Amino acid sequence: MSPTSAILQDLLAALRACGKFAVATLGDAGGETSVPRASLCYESRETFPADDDASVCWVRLKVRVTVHARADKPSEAALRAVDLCSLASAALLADPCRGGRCQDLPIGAATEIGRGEPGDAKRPDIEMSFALRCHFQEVCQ
Amino acid sequence: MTAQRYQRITAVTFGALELPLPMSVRLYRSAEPQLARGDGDLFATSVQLSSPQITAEVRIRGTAVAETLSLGQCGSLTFTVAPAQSGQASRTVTLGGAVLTAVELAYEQTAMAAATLRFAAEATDGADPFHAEESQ
Repeated sequence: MSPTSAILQDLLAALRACGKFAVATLGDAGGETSVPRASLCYESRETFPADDDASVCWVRLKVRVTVHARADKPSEAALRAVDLCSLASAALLADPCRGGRCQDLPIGAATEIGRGEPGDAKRPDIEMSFALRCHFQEVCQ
Repeated sequence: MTAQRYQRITAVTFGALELPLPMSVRLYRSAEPQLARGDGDLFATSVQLSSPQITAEVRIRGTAVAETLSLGQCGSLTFTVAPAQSGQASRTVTLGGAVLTAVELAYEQTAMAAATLRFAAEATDGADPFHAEESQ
């Protein structure tokens, strides 16, 4: 399994293990929103030459984490989504090194989480997402 | 000589010790200019130089190794830089008789710790301690 796949699987496992999401998937599986749901979407992979070792490259993996919530009132749904985002980020930061796959590097911390952003609001469903960046080192091709 | 670009430092050693995770190596060859001019001259009519000296500065992230170094320690400072174009030869640069004159260790709250090592070259036979050649 490639480092990218292994990290995505680890992120998914962290979301599932926190016990707050009935469903956690890679990619947006759509469908049922009556239960709290989280999805991970791979966005990009950037490679940087290491500035202190010619034999390795540093990699930044960008992922978007989206939580889906539902409530009778839109304001309640928004609050629930904020709460779920907070729970998701805490779960994802419990092991920022992703079982030793990621590490703090000059280009960024092992796992970094961005600010929450409101997504599509299709009442009574609501989405909220945040950017997640993982950093790791690999031997240059 | 063909013009070539070099960019990646692949190894830095000081004596038998590897200096790990090098970020940069700077060599500075200098001499103090001593200006002379005649009484009626506005500008210097001759410039002579004092004895040349070579100093070096190496920045590394391998701070644990830098912590073990002692000031006054002496050895050859050697490093290799890779060519920017494939198929070309690397270049190995050696500063013989490098004497460690300063170690600066910087531990940061939000950045990687780094060490700056400064050297001055001595030449027991008085010859130029700097040498650079294509790597074998």
